[in-house]
Amino acid sequence: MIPPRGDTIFGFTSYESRVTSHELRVTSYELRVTSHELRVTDFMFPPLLILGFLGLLFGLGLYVASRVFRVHIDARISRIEHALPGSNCGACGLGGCGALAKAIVHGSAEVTACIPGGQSVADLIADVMGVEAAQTDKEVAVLHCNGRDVEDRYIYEGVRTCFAANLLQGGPKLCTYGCIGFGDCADVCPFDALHMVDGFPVVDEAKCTACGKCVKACPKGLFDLIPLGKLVHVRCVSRDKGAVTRKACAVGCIGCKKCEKVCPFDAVRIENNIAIFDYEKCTSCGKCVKECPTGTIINYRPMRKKLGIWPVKTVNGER
Amino acid sequence: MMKTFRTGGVHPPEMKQLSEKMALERVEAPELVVLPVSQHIGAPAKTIVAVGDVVAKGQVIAEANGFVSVPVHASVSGKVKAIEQRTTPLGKVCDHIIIENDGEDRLAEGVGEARDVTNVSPKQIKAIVRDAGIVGMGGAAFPTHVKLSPPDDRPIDLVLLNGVECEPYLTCDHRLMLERAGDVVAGLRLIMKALGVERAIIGIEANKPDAYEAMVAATKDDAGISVSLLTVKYPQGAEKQLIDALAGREVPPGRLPLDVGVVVHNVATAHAIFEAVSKSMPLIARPVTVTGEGIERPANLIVPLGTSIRDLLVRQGVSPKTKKLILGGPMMGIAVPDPDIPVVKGTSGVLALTKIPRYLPGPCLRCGKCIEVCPLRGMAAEMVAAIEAGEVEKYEHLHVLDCMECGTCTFACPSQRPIVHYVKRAKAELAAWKAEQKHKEKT
Repeated sequence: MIPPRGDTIFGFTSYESRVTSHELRVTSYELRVTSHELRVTDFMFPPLLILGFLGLLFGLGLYVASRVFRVHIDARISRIEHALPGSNCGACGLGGCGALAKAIVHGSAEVTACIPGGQSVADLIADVMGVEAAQTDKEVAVLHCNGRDVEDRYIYEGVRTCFAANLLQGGPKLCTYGCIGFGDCADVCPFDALHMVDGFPVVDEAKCTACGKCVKACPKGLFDLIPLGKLVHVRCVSRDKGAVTRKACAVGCIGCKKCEKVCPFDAVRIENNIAIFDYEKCTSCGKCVKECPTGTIINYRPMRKKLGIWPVKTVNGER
Repeated sequence: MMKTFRTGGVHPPEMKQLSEKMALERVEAPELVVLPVSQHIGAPAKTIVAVGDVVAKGQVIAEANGFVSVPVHASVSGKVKAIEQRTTPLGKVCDHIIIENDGEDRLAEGVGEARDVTNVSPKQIKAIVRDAGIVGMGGAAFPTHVKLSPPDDRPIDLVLLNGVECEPYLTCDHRLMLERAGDVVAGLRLIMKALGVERAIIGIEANKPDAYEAMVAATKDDAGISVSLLTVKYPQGAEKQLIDALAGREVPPGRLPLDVGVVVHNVATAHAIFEAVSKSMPLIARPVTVTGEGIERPANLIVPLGTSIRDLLVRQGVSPKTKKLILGGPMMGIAVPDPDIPVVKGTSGVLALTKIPRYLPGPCLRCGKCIEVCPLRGMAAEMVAAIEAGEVEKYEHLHVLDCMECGTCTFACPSQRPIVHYVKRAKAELAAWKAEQKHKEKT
């Protein structure tokens, strides 16, 4: 007879508990005797049978499911995903690098679709796909405004983003075409290539991958993606008349047409009081830079040389 | 007990004492008027005059371009000096027709002819209102003839006349009801006739007892029109809140007042309709309150459209302490950086403020004040959180588009967060996002 265990152990004196442990020992001995008399086969077969059967059943189910609902994954997708930068910037216009990899394999995107990846990534992807990648020109974001010192025409107290400020009569700056300076562009840059320096955005061209996020973010449309080899840019978009621009900004384009006249390649024209470049024709000769009276047209050559990003080095050593 | 709307609302300082005793004054036409072709909601009117043309007062200079559009008339007689592309204070770029006043005050043909008000058909009223270029004059500037032509499947049984003028500072509707009660009520009768409605309620807030008396006196023979005094609470003059207060009906989100059988018109609109029908006078002048601590002689003026704000400020004297200029009321009006902009059909007030709240927006305290005061039961705090995070796809679900930007939340926020500005930004973002989605679907 096994004594009820709980009653015997707790709340008894030491003598009583000794007695209890002795009794327990007896009990366990008795149990051991009982187990010798039992055979394993008496109780092991039914569970083994049930579990074994269930295992087989589920295994079969899984096998059938894996056949019927099989997802065909192209091995190229994962290989392309490895080749892509993995920053999920969305410059290709798709959800991320994974989505682009799928799109490339399914043929709905070009092998050169990853703009930040540039030529090297395009070549890797082309290798996977077994095609030849077209030569792409590396591009950078160019800010078409240089109005660092434009004053405010009203005190802006609203939400501190360019997008919101632009809703209020085009922002607080005297020049309604130029940079508002709250840094929407720097906020969206996924490559740390855009910084606000004294309230004005500066592109770090060594880091810029031309993903185009800033182009979309700027409510004034001041950014453009331009091939790295194009070295001369107009840093203004103001369509105001010369006198109005001059009053607001010392480095704004006043539409004087000097650049238009001096350009030997017919690559500059003045339209709506602003110089516009035809980059197809422009050879970056820099004649207009010297002629521009307001310093609106800027030569990027020295800066890019210093950064070591131009002239572009390619595998064959050619440009 | 006086009625009011059920949900939310705030009590900003009324500040109406500055100008409420000033009788309406007609402003002499300025030497130059600038008339934007887009003074209303809807398609901008189409310019039909050229530089150098001589125009008469009341002549159509830009014609309606579609159903939701109204013509623009010359507010002075003279010569078209220039037609320029400019940006309106609301950020729309459109033609601005600049007319040099010749001082002759020549009226165009047919303008100013008396007409028998009792003898016009509903169809005629609608046509006259459309041709007179009348828009809602409470501020939104929605073409009035559209509101007078509800679709057949939406029967209208009640007209509400909005004499609430809940915006602080503004008093021109108050003066209009006081001084021209008969004309306003006659205008209301024309609206009722055009819509074929028998019943109308005029809503006036309790801070204008004299206007209430005047309207009661003007409507005492009319069984169909009643005048109701309302508890002062902002934004009672908002269409949906007024419907709630006077008729006890709630307009569902995304729907229009005509979905609950109601049409709301402003008292100034009723007055303009009466002028158009009885005197064939198009909308070329409107009452404007010029007030604020920065104005030396606050006044209620009847101003020819196109008059520069600067002219009005000079006329009433402006203190050098003025820090901020606002078109409209302080709650919903828009601040303008430059006084060289014209009075348009939707301009109900010009405020020159010397004290401006310094906005140093802090973080959200999660106090829930904005939700408590929102007349639309909007979740302002949640909206702003989503907007700050840029979660465009959530905006519509959070009813960003239903917000009328009345400003109660911004007024109530102890953290001084520019909530309405966030919502304005969200609306613009949402529009851009939707366009992008549509574009994506196409390609």
